[in-house]
Amino acid sequence: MLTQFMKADIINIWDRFRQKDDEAFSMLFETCAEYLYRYGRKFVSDDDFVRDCVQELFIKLYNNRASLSPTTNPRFYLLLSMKNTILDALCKTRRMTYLSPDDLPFVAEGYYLPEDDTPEVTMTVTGRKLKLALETLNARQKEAIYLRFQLGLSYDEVSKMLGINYQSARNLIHRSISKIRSTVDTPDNIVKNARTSK
Amino acid sequence: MIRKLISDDPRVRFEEPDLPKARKREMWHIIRKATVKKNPARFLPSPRARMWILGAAAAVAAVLVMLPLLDEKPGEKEYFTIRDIETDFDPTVGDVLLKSGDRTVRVEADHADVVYESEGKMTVNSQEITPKREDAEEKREIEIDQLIVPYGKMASLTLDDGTIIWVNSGSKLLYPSTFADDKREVFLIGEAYFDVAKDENRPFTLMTDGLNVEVRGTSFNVSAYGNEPLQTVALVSGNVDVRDEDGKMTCQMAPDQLFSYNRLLGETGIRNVDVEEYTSWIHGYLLLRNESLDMLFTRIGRHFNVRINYDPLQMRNITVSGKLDLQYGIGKALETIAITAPITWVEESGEVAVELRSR
Repeated sequence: MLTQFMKADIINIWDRFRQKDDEAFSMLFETCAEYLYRYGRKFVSDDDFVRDCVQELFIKLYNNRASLSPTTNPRFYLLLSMKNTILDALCKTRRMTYLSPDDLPFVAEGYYLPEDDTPEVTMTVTGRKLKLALETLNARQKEAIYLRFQLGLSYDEVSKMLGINYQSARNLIHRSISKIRSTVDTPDNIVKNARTSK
Repeated sequence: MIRKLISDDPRVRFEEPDLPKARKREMWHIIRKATVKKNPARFLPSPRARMWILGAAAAVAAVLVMLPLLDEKPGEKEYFTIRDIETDFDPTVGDVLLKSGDRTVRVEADHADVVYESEGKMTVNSQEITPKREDAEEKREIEIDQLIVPYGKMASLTLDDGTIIWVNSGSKLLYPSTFADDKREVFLIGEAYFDVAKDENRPFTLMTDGLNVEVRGTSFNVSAYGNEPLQTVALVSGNVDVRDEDGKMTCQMAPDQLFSYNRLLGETGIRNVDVEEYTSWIHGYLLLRNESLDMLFTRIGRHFNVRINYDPLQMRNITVSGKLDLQYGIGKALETIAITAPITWVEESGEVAVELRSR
């Protein structure tokens, strides 16, 4: 949950954890395990593997807790660490010396989040169009949208997650949004034609 | 999940795989083994509790024999899976919610009074509602109803067996709409006071994330908030058996005792207390004896649904005692605390920041 309440809470938990408070460690796991797992599953479909990575990440965090730095967004830090943990673990199992973040494609079914007052008809139509729009996005664009809008990271944080600079992240997201918008706003028949001509 | 939309949000969402609660617990056990407790004693009773276990060895044996069901027939869908129902909720927003059958009832009042009468009839704040339920023939599992009480609200609940439960702010209670013939089981996240109706043939079990409290007719208070590692059971009258969810540890409690369980460290303890300290909330006040400000702020923050910002390490060592009336708002409550505790506070945009008073 992204309420302000939770945000302030997690910073507090993070600080107590760094000060070797064991209770805070349990709360950190309690509040963060789900979204780290879910994020991990976007790259690896094997759920055992992803759960192992979450465990490994928390054990590593615990062992290094005294040297962790304060941060205004522990969530971002944890997500980034999760991605690195997965990369490391994949390198090990595939006996590769290096995997770039680009070798980890973001894979997930997308759907349309309707507004409260959206009529059902519009919903299904828009939902169908959106699926089509998502097919035109590449893995990186999908990940950027997920990080920005589903997890609520800032542009700056998204850029760091993707290993690109701030402006590139903004452009990437804006291009993706306009791609989606243009497909969704296209009248119904044109979308249908586009599909049949494909 | 409630989430504020960012202004240029394209309203695209990606499917999120589910992490079942049982799996999450497994993960935590593995992490804990490798970190907090390198030496994995899953449940380490305190010396006092250990004494109890020895003293009550016969009783424990009897109970263990009575309950081998829990581990048996793993493939069969047991009602016991109530633990695995998704229990996440955001306690900071909304009204009291009652989910029963196909109905979700929203109660706008600060206090919800829910009464289950016979034959599936029920009332909410004296208004009758009749939720549609599946036909008895089609029904394979027992239907689970839910009562969700966010911060700033309270609820009382009368079940069809006559048991009365007061549910405190920020809690969620799961229970079958009608109890089975041989047992009564409910699941709690948060805090509640139980006045359990006597029924020799149907033992009453309250489950939390970690503990089972087994009851015949009795009254007791349980605090088991999801965001606090410490869970407590305070027994007012009668007797109860507390066991961990794996059934590896059992502890018999007598009236005026407090059982505590630290979920993180796996440590348990039992001591004599004035139980009124743990039950006074149902009457709208808190009876405090050497209560740390850290804990107290957590409790009143929940009661009033106001975020209280403070340095927990600083406030943990300051304690207060006395009677704290909650009826006149958070400002009045803080004023009362400040009579003995060296604190000052400012209220700003619905939040309160508390600091130590400088001399």
